[in-house]
Amino acid sequence: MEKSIIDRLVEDKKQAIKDAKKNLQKPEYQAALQRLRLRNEERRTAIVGV
Amino acid sequence: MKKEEQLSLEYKFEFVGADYNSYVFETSSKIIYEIQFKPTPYLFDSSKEYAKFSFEFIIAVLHNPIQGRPPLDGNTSRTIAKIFEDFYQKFNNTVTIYICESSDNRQMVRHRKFNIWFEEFHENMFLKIDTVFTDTQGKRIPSSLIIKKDNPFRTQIFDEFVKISDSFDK
Repeated sequence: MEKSIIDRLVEDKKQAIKDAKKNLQKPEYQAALQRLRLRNEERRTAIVGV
Repeated sequence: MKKEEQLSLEYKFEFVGADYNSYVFETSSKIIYEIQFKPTPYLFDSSKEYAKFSFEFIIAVLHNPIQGRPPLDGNTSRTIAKIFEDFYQKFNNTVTIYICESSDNRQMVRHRKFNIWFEEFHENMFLKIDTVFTDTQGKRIPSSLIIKKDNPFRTQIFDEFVKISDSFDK
């Protein structure tokens, strides 16, 4: 039976949520998190420096 | 309001890109969220110009150091709204479909929360249309389609979405 649009959407979503933990190990995610932590650190420094 | 409070209305986020147009951010509880705009070119007839702009909006937890469900956090909602805006700024004609996760049968609760979130943050920039699909297992799944108000295909997009929705009622 051909999958309906809603079945595909539901499956895609389930798979994406399941795969999310694995994404954390990918270099592009690690790089983004590193950039994010750097920006958060800069913000904290700015707040303390005010 | 203290300066620190003013600066903490939303978390900083980063665009990862990759296959699913992902964004990441980290909360004060060290929970890392991923927001995805996963391409769904199958949603509309592929001959339609807007088919290539359609995405499924997915919120996933990448890392949760707290056992159980992440706590309520207003900054998380605000951050997700900012990410949403950012993506629509990148791709103005984006069509987003949000379907409520249903594996734990809490889809109606999620739908109500999503509506509250949308009402709080849409700032008159977006239009939303809701429907309830029934999957092949007979489960009812609330879904929302969101476009920017100035989307040049808005009439066709809403018409086609209503047709898709109607086809599930037959």
